[in-house]
Formats: sequence, C-alpha cells, structure tokens
Amino acid sequence: MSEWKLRDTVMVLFMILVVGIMLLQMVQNDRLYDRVSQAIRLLEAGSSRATATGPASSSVRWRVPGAEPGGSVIIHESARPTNLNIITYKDHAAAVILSDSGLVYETLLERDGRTLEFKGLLAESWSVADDRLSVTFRIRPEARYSDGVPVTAHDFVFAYRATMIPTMDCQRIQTYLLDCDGVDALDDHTVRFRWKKKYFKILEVAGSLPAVPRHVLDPENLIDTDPAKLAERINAWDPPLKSPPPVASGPYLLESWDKPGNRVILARNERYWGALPPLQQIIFRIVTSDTTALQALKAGELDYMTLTSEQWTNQTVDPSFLERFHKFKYLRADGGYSYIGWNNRRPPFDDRRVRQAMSCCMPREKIVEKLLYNLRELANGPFSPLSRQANPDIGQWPFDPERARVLLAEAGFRDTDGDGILDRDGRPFEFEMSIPAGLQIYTQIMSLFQDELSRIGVRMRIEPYEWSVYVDKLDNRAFDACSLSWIGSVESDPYQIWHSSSYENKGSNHVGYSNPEVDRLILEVREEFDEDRRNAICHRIHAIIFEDQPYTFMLTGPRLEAVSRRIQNAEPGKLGMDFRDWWVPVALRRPGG
Amino acid sequence: MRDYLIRRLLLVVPTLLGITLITFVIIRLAPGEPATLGGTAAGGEAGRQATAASAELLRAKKELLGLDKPVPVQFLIWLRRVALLDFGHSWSNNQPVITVILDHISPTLQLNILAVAVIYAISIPLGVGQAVRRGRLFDRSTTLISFLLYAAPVYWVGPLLLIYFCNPEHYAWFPAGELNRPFPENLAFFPWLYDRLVHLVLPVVCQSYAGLAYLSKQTRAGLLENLQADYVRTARAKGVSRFRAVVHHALRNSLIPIVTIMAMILPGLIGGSIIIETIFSIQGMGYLSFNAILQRDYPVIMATTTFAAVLTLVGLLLQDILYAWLDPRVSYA
Repeated sequence: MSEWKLRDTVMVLFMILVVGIMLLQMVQNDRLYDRVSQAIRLLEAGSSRATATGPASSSVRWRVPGAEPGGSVIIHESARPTNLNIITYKDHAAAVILSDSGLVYETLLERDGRTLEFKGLLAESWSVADDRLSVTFRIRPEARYSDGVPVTAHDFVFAYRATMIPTMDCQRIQTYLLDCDGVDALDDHTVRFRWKKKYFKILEVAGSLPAVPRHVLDPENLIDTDPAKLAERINAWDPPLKSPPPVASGPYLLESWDKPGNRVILARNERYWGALPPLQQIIFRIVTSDTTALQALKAGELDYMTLTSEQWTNQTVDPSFLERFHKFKYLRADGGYSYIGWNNRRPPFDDRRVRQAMSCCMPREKIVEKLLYNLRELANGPFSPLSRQANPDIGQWPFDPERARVLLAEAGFRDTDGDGILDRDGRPFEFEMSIPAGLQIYTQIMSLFQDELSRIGVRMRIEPYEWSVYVDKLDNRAFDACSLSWIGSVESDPYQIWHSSSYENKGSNHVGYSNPEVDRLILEVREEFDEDRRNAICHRIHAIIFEDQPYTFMLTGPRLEAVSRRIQNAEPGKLGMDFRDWWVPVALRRPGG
Repeated sequence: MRDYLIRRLLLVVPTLLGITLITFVIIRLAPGEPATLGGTAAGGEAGRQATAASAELLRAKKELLGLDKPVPVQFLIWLRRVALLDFGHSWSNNQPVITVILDHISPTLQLNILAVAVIYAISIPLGVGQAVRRGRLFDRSTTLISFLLYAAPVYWVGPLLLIYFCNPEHYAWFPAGELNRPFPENLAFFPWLYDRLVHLVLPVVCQSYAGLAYLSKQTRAGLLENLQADYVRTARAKGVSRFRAVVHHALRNSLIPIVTIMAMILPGLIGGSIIIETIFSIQGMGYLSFNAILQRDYPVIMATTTFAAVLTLVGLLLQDILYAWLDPRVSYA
C-alpha cells in the first residue's frame, strides 16, 4: 500500500464535495418537479393562485361582506394527523382540518356557533317522521363537488354503505351508526335515514355524515360487486401529494400535505357552490412542543394557537405581546370534563358512602388555585355547564374532610389497630390510583389528593401507566380508581357512559356504574324528541348521578387561545373559531402568502 | 479474509432471525392494545370520546389485522412477507410501512449526518489540542467544558436555546423549530438551502454537543499514548517538526479507534432522537418509532427495529473490515 499523501486527502475532499453537489442538484430537481406538477394539478383542479384575484365570474357570493378576499393564515396543530382520509381518519387534527368546521368536506347539517341550533349546510330542509324512526333531508340542488358534479342523495347512501363494510377501518363512524337501519335515496336530492329504534340524536348523527363523492371513490360500483375490495382501496387511500386535490364539496380543498415540512395547506375552492370565504389559504402547521409553538407565534410564524395555563399567565402578558395578539378565554359548548373514576364494582368503592367520602377529600379549589392559575372551573356532573342538559340547581360537591370521616365510619371503616390507617374486616383502606404517564399535572393533582387522604387515614398509591396500557386497564376494568377526561359534545347521550349495559364489551362505562333508575331514565332520554322534556329528564339523571358520585367530577376548562391581530373577524363562538369567517387586510398580509 | 467474510455473512441470518423473534415476542408480551383497536387515538390530553360497545366491531377489526391468529403463526406470516421485502401496512394510517418510513427518514438523516460531521470536525482538533497541551489551562478548561456539556440534558438545553435564540424578546437569530419557513417552495435554490441550514442550526447543536466530550476524550487518550511512543521520539530526534510528528505520525495511528467508531454510528443515523424531534417539531424517525410504540402499531415497530438491526450488523461487519484494513497487525486469516 502506498503512502497516504496530502494529494489523497484533497482528492477525497473533492469527491465528497462532488457527491454533495450532486445530491443538492437532485434535491433542486425534485423541487422544480414538485413546483411544476403542483402548478399543473392546481390548473386541472380549477383552484389556483393563478386566479388569486378572485373567481372570474362576477356573480360570486361572498360569505363575509366587506372582507378583503385573499391572504392566508397559519394555524397551530399540536399533533400530526395520521391521515387525511375523510372516511378512515382517527384523530382530532384530521377532524379539525377536514370536517369539523366544514372546511373541506361538508355534512347535511351544522350547528350555529351562537345559538347551537342546527342549520342546513348541504340540506335545505329536513323533517323527522311522525313515528320518530326516520329523518328525511332535502339536499340543496345547487350543491356541487369541486369537479362540478352535483351532490346527490346517492352519495349519502354510498357513504353509509361504505362505512358499514365490516373491514372498513372506520370505527369512529360505525359506532354511531349501529342502530341505523338503512339509508335510502328517495330521489336525486332527497335522502332518508331509517333507525331501528327511536333515538333523539338521529338528526345529529345523520346530519353529520359527510358527503363523499361516489363517482370518484367508486367509479366501478364495487360497493355492490366487491365491498371488501372497496374497503381495501379506501383504507389505503391517503390524499397523495402529487395529484390533484381530492374532490370534495367544501369551500376549501386539500392543496397539499407537506409531510416533512409539517404543514397541511388548504386552498380556497374557487368553484365552491355556496358563498365563498375570504381567506385564500388556510395552513395548518404541526408543532409538537408547546414551547416551540409559542416561540413561533411570537416570531410571526403562527397566527393562532391554544395556550397552556402557564403560557396564559406568565408568558403572554407583556404589552408587546398584547399589542400583536388577542387573547381569548371562553367555554366551549362541546367542552368535556376531567374526573376521577371509582371502580363501582370493586370494594370499597362499591359503597356510595365511600365514593362520597373520597369526593369530600378532593381539594379542587386548591388545585385550581395552586396548580392551574385559577384558569379552570369545577365540574359537577356529566353535562357541560353551557348545555341545557345540565341541572342548574346542583351546586358543587363540598370539600369537607370531617364529613368524609363520618361517611367512612358509617361504611364501617375504623382505625382498630391504631396505625393511623383506617381498616375494615382486618384490611387497611388502601388503593391504587391509576393515572396516564407523562402528564405532570395528573401527578401534581394526585399528590395533593394523597395528602388529604392520608390525613383521614386512607392510603393511596399513585401508579402512572403508559397510555395504551392504561386504556387496556380501563377496558378490562382492572383498576381501583382512574383519572381521565371525556371529550364533550353539545348535546350528549348519557347511554354510553352511564347505562349499566355499557359495562359489557369494553363500553365506555368502565367504572361499572349501575343504577336501575338512571338506566330507565337514560332509555327515556333516548326516545324523547321534545327538547324541554328531554332536558328535564337529564336534570334528574344529573341529580341522581351527583348523589351517587360514581366519579369525582373534577374540572372543566375554558379554552385559552391567542390570535394574531392581523386577523379580522376572529371571535370565538360557543363551538370555537370558524375559520371561514376570518380575513386578513391586504396591508397586513405576509409577503408571498 | 474472504473465508472470514463469508462466515460473518452467514452468521448474519440467524442473528437477524433471533433479533426479530425477540422483538416480536417482547412487543406482544408488552401490556396494552393497539390504539386502532381502542377506536380512540392515543392523545396527550388524556381525553377520550365515549363510544358504543360492540363486540362485533372489535372482532371484525382483530380479524382484519390478523390478531385473531396465535402469536407464532403471526410471526411466521410476518417473516414470510419480510422475506419478500414486504413490511405490511401501518395500522395507524394504512399506508405501506416503507412509505411511512421514507416520509420520516429524510429529516433524521439530514440532522444526524450534519451532527456527526460537526462532532468529528470539532472534537478531533480539540482532542489533538488537548493532548499536545496536556495538563495546561487549555486542556483542563476544554475538558471541563466538554464534560459539563456532556452532563447537560438535551430536554433542558433545547428549550433554553429556543427561548433565548428564537425569541424577539431576546435574540431572534434562528427560527423556532421545523426545517423550513412557511412556503419553502416559493424560494429559489440558494435562499431555500440557506433557510434549511438556518433551521438546522439549533437541532444540530442539540444533537452534537454531548458527543463532543466522548470523541475528544477518545482522540486525546489515543494521541497521548502515541506521543510517548518511541517512534515519535525517533521522528523528533531525526529532525521532523513537532507539527509533522504529531499530525503525520502520532495522529494517524491514534485515529484507528476513531474511524472504527464511525461504523458504529451507522445504525444511529436512522434512529432519530424523540426528544430533539419533539422540541424542534421535526417529524423524523424518533417521532415515528416513539408514536408507533405508543399506539402499538406493530408493523411499524417491527420494520424500524429490523432496519436498525440490519444496520447494526452491517456496522459491526464494516468495523471489522476497517480494522483489518487500517491496522496491519490485525488479520482474520
């Protein structure tokens, strides 16, 4: 082997340089190719920034009178959607981007952000049959997909039948349609949903099925000939990056999903059938860390994000921040609540007095004050405080350790051996509190609770579990006590969480709550179509559950949000922000976007 | 040498089989069920949506995923598919696992290759400097600093960097997280390259600062040993300059362990760091594998571990070959 010389070193460095330049050249080629193909597909789809000055036709209706059309906003999402397939998506991020606020895919009905009443989106009218077993929608004849094909009743029949294929990966929708008996197209613009039994949410469930373009997803009519193959195809469908935006009926189209760049870009559908929203582009940017997101907001790289309590209180209070951003604190009508769930079928929590005693020891005011900067409200039952289902006469469960002592004594707990721990039948009162791992706030709350319990002689062990293990424990009912929160809905059906039959088959009644009176009332609620009467029954359910304390109801939170002052018309309704109403004055737009 | 190589390559097959088998068994023994069966996505907020109970839906789903078969049968099915280079589909979004990995591997590679380059570019000269000035102020202070850096946890350093260097209230020198600014496709090539590099600065700093201590220590130790060797003294005695004696004679011999460490780095290149990726909002391999584990996305977990195993084995093989090539004293004959 000959001697390694300086010449060789130079040679190697030169080769590395050449390879590097070649790689960069390849990258640049790819970028060029992407740009060209993007331009082509935007032209093909008719939605293009080439026409960014506005659609050619002068008969355009605008959604927000007086707004300056165009411009873009960047919205923070904290988790990346697993996919953007309207049928099989599973997470919150995808729901927000695709359908929650009617951006890309539209449903028959939507809720008004102020009154919470239903209003027609794709439906122009609807009626519930006299026997309450079916609901019929009249679809707007002017409703069109982005390729110009009208939205028809057959699309909803297809959507229903496709989601009910057993191998379709969409438990999210299937679980709501279990009692649906079928969907019929009476004519091209009339669709009827039939239910097997009376159900007060029939309108909501049927009205929230998205319109999916049958002519695109199933041109060969596989739904009749080979549903398994159709399921396989739809399951594997993820809106690709290098093809025209998927056909949908909403005011925005999925322009691109820049996976390495963590962005989902929606562009206005210039051929939208309804009134056009002002913004030209809505960009969802995925930033996984709260700290990073706030820095990006301050640096002007984000326009809108949800703040943590700490960020709200400490990091967004200086005048320079308030000059550039609005801060909003508001309750959402579909906000959920957090709770401690007691295993109602396992001693000692099968005794109502013990559960009540536990609730008496939970220092909720202190938690809100010490740990959450006074930015949470106390929950007192299964319904959102904004909802009419909640019983207004019910107060808060008191923090009262003395009463807890009395209740536990009534339940037979005494400190017979003088070790400071209560016992019954020779066994000390000791239990395990399971919490999801990795969430500091749970640990902090439980430590405060642990202190309070030890004062009255109850020993609690805090056990954090990784999320999927935790869910498994809940599903198998293998816990003493758990801590979790429910995502809410505007009008909730107490059946899944509180009916005793939901204990079986991994239903959501994981604490095993069972009260024959509540079971009966829940079935009544499900069949009651008159809202006032229904709410009256809900009030009774609320009262009984409050007395039974199967959960210790913990906290319900206002949303804490910051929005750039560039954005006009950004006022949260009871269901949050409606991006379709936002606009940015020309003078305040970002260069290039 | 050739026989040795053949023997090594033959050994790769059972090793790989063993690794995949153990991984497969461990994943299945781990408690918790796939998120896709729970119907709710694993979320940071620990919130769940109430769902209707349906044994039928669950059974259909299990059948679809092949989870109804016994575990050994599942392993054989997996093995047969992998032999045909088919890693299956991710359970979380139904995309082919290969596509999913290709989606995530590019940011991780960019980050790691730059970080490795930075580590070597700084720590080798640093180690040489320390060895030459052994015991002097430079040696002691840089050693101390590099060990302090080594001890500083990245989950603390990362947010600090972000808060002080990406913040108009302090110094807005770098962008906060990610790899591009908005609309990178509107940029021409050089501004785009510059934008990407600026975005990579802080993540690369985070990824590399801890490695400095280790590698400079290695260089320093190796060089010290050689500096005291007879041949260096001989070289100096026959009039070779100090610089030439250190760089051409001593350093070349002490670089052998450093070069071979490089082979070990190979598997590390594709395994991203979940902490750095979360702080800087980069969705690379760390993010992918961590989420796959959280959601019990078995096909993705199996594919990433198999790739890591293959690269580790290749790295070890490379290391042995490099040794023999660089150091004439080693032979596998």
